[in-house]
This record gives sequence, structure tokens and C-alpha cells, in this order.
Amino acid sequence: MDRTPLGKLAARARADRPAPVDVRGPVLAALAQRRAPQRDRTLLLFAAGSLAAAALVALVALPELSALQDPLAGMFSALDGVPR
Amino acid sequence: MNAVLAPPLPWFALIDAAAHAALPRLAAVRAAPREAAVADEADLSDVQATLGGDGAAFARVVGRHQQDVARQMARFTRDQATLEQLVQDTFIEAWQGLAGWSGRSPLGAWLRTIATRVGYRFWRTRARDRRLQDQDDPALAEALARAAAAPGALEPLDAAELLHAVLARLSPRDRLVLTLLYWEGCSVEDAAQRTGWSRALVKVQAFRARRRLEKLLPPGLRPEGR
Repeated sequence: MDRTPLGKLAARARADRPAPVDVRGPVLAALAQRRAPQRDRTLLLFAAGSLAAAALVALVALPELSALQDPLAGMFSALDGVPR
Repeated sequence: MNAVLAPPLPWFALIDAAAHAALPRLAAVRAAPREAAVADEADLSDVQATLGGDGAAFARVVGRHQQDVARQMARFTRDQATLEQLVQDTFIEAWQGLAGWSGRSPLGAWLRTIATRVGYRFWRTRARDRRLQDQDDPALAEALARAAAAPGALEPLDAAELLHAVLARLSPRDRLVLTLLYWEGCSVEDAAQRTGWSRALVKVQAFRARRRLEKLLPPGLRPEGR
């Protein structure tokens, strides 16, 4: 127990009681508005599935793409002999 | 009132991995013999329920502890609206860190540490916004002189107002350590726990704060070493 004058003043001040508060409603409302960063498992699964499908399509399409010929190549091949 | 306390709480579905990790720990504390677990059973069960997604349980936690937190916050502000805001901030911060409560110490003590942090942050923000109050306030000097003559004769409300006005002239760090040691009546150990400072730092800070406070007080009210 502090017997100094400041200690006595503080002891008197400690007996002060603030007006009752009820912050339950505001606290819950504030928490409801907060959007904690969440990882949506459904969205993650969907994204992973899409990525896998895209990789599969790319795997099949790339060899086909390289084998593709220019459809107009035949038409212009005749012009190859024309002197410029 | 009940309508307020039981809103739809989709946000409690946002329990993260830390909360899931905390649940078995709290269950173990609850299952331990009572003399081993310091935390109140109602707090333990409500925190567990909150971490499990029960919003009404957190409302019960707030209801049980809000007056204690408000009493502590009255040391940080004398404005009722600001006080309520600080109490709210304390519980919001507590909710965010609820998974970090061990359950092996009283929830009230854990909340007091958070409240100290919230209040100190409030002071620091205010100190940045405006410089410390005018050092030459004749009304305050007169009130201090009266208090020095008979410090025990003041009404608690007047004593609180006066102490708040005096400590408001110090920097946030000085103010915090003297508020905890004098107004809250904390031991050095408690003050260290609340502030996160070492015991040595609390003692040094208190010594320096007393020295600075001496210059602001009339002789009859000057603090002496504790």
C-alpha cells in the first residue's frame, strides 16, 4: 500500500467505477462485418481441376498444332516460281 | 436484447487452422483436475464453443468481462463514448487472438493485457495527433493544491479525474507505467506482464516517469520511490 499523497490519491481514484457498458451488440456487429481471409476449399478444388484439364488439353493439342499446315500454302506455292 | 445477442453469425464459420489447433488444448485443460486449471470453467467452455463456431458463446464471454475491461479503460480515457469504443476494440482484438489463449491462466488476466495494449495504442495515437496538454493550467494547479492538502478527502470520481489530468501531461510510456503501478495498483511483475516489458525496464521507466512527474506536481503530491 502506497502511503504517499499520490498513492492515496490513486487509491481514491481506484474506487471510481465507470458507468456500466454493454458492448455485446456492437462487438458482434463489428465482427460480422469483418471478412477474415479464408481459403474456400470448393473454389480451390475447382481451380485445381480447371488447371489439370487445361494442362491435358495443352498436352494433346501441342503435337497437333505443330503438325498443322497452312491451308493457303498450296495456293501460294504456285507463285513461288514467279520472278520478282 | 436477446435478438441482439443471437444474430446469424456466418463469420464464425471462418474459424481458421489456429483455432482448430487450440480446441484440443482447451479440451485438455478442461479435462484436467480443477486445481490444475486456473481458468474459469464458464470461460473455458465458452471459448471452446466460440472457436467451434458458436457466436452466442462469445457474447457470453463479452458479457462476463466487459465491466472489468471498462473499469480498466477508465484509466485510459474519461470520455464515455471513447471508453466504449476501447472496450469494443479490446474484445475484437481478443476474438482475433482467441486461439492463442492457453486456458491455463484466467481469461480476465489475458483480457487485461490486451486492454493495456489497446489503451496504450490509443494514447500513442492521441499523442501523435496533438502535443501534450498545456503545462500551465491554473484550474488544475488549484485542484492539485487542494488534493495535496487532503488527498484522501476527494470523491473517487474527482480523484480519478484529477489523476487522469495529471498523468495526461506525461508521455504515453511514462503515463502507462505510472497508471499501472499507481492507479491500477499493479506490482512490478504484473506491470511487466501487462506491458510486455521486462521487470528491469518497468522499474527504470517508473523511476524516470516519477522524476518527470515531480516537476508537474505540488510538493504535497510528489511521488516517492516504490
